[in-house]
Order: sequence, then structure tokens, then C-alpha cells
Amino acid sequence: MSGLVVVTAAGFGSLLALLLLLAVAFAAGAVGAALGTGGGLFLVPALVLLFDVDIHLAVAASLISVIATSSASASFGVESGLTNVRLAMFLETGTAIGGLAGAIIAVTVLAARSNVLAFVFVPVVLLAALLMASSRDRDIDPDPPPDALARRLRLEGEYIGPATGIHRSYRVTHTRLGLVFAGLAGIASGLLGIGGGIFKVPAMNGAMNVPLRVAAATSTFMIGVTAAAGALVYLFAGDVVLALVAPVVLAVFVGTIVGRRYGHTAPISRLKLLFIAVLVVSAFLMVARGVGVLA
Amino acid sequence: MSELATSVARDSPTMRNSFVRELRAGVAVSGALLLLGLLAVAWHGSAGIAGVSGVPPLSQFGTDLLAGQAWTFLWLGVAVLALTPVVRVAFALAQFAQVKDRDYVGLTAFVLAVLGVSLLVGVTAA
Repeated sequence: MSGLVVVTAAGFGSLLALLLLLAVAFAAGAVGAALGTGGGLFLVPALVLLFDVDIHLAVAASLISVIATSSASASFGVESGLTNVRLAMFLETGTAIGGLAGAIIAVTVLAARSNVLAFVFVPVVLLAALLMASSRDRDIDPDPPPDALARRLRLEGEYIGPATGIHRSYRVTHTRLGLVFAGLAGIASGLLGIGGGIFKVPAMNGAMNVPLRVAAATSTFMIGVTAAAGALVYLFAGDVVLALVAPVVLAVFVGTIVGRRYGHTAPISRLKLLFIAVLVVSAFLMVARGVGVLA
Repeated sequence: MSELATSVARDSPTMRNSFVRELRAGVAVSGALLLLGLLAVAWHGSAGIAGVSGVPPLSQFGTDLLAGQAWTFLWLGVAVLALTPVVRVAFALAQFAQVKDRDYVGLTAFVLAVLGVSLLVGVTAA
């Protein structure tokens, strides 16, 4: 599996490897934008398994690409008013501190233990696949349990359903539980190089009474800050390999734009199945590699 | 675009617009620098860029930038991208401070402080 070396000590490896890297990053950006999850969950296993990149460097590259996805697509939700900016600012306190903690663990305790990090990745990837498989648009409760913090921070919102045209307002609840989930999503982000949207969206929709589309837009907005908390550690620690990250980010930008533009025409249920299949296969391959079946 | 929803946003439209402009500017500047850097790689060859990451010595960065060295553009492109969310939080803090919204000044200041610690941890770990 180590035939496609994209970055060597002298610069870029083969042209074939570079083209494949661009294709993988484009796909991660496009599918991530179409499904609203970001592409980090694919990118790390792809870099490790296909290009033989050390998992720490793959995580750093992925975090930068998560910021690219978020920055390139979050503005649309903010512009249309779908994003709940206040809720994002509140939950960012949890995701930022979690992202910092995850990155610190990765560059200190796990600095020389790439295998351990690879094994941590597996249950998280499988959990993400499970969440994706069971995801549904949970109806919001018009009269949720009162939450003093939500009232104080004015976290409620309203939006007009895109398909129905019906005006809906929603009240946020279980803010403390939501903050705990945000913190855990942040740790997963800093440690494993994912945006954590796959965990934030179900937490907001399932626990905090936020409509699914609002949760997805708010998550997209938040993952930039979540990933930055980890990415700044890696960037200034010298774990960001420019020859790897620069082409990946450019391809992710293009992929994100295409995914946003054509995402609504894509067969979402089939994309979801593909997403789940890729996650399960990559989890399996990460284990196989970790125990030495794949060198 | 999949979200055609509009809403009666309760946040100030000024703040939303500032976020939209800032995010788009960050993407444009970072994308341009990365593209420029890769073109410089294609022109000059890629020798030396694979190993260059982390905080470059400032003196070397300046001379290399003026010499049109590819890695300086690539590093700046990545740094601009990584700082795009940070600047967005700083914008929010400034605007919440303007309207004296203490709760949100506290929340955004906390997030900004965490991001500052991230940067310091990275520099220290280098």
C-alpha cells in the first residue's frame, strides 16, 4: 500500500499520486458538502491508507481542509438566515476547548504512538457510520422543557422551511447536555482531524430541539472554529506538510463548491449508503494496517 | 444552493454580513496564495518545500518571500485559512462589545482566548 508516495523529502512524488490526491480531496469536499458532514472522516483514512502518510500529519492536513470546507460553505447558511449564530457562539466554547485538548493529547501523549491514534479512530468512525445510518429529521417539540440558559442567551430562532414555505419557530433546550456533546465533538476533532459535524448535528437536532436544517447550517459554521483550535496547534508545531496540504485544500475548495451547487440533485440516500460503506471499509483497513496485516 | 430558507433573523444583519464578507475574503485570499505557491512550485521546482512547515525563522521568511520562494506563499495561504475562523470570532467580539452584550462578549472572548492558547501551544511544541 506504500506505492503512492505523494510527498518525498525532495518535494512531490509521482504525478499519478498527485492526481489521485486531488481526486480524493475533491471527493471529500463534494460529498462532505452534499451531506453536510465535512470530508475529514474520509480524508484521514485515505491519506493514511492510500498515500502512507503518518496519521499525525494526516490529521493536521485534514483539520486545515475542514476549515476550508467550513469557510467556503458556512457563508451561505449565514446569509440565508438558516444558521443560528448565537447557538454557534455558545457551543463554540465547548468545541474550541475540546479541539485544543484533543490536539494537545495528540502532539504530547500520543506523539510517538501513531498506532494508538489509528485505533482510536476506528470506534469513532464506526460510531459516525451508525449515526449516519440512523439519522432522521426529528420533529421539533413546540413546547420543550424550559431552559434558563437558553432563555438568557436568547438561543431561540425561526426559519421558513425551504420545501414547505411554512414559518417555524423553535426553542432550544438542554443547553448543558448540548455543551457536553460539543466538548466531546471538539476532542474528536483535535485528536482525529474531523470537523465533528457528524456528532454536533444529531446532538443539536436530537437533544437540543433544533430543526435538522438549522442544525446542519449551524454545525457547518461552527466546525471552522472547532478545527482551528486544533489546527493552530499543528500548524505552529510544524506538523502541516505544505506539499500535502496545499493541493488538498485547493481540491477541497473546488469540491465544496461543486457539492453545494449540485448537492441537492444528488441521490442523498445512495450517497449516505456510500458514505457508510466507505467508513466501515476504512475502519476495517485501519485495523488491518494497525495489526500488521497490511504493511 | 440547497438552503432557500430565509428567516427573520434575530441577530443583527450587520454582524451576519460581516461574517459572510470575512469568510469569503479568507477563502479568496487563501486560495489565491495557495494557487500562486503551487504555480511557483511548477515554475521553480518543488525542491525543499516538503520539509518546510511550522514557524519559519522570520528573517528567512522575509528574504524567501521577496525571492518568490514557493513555500512562503503556501505557508501564508495555510495560515490565512487557519486564521479565518479566528478573525470571524474577533469580529463577533468587537460587535458584541459595541452593543454592550456582556454575555456574548464573555463567550466570544473565551473562544478567542482558547484559540490564542492553541497558537501558543503549537509554538511551544515546535
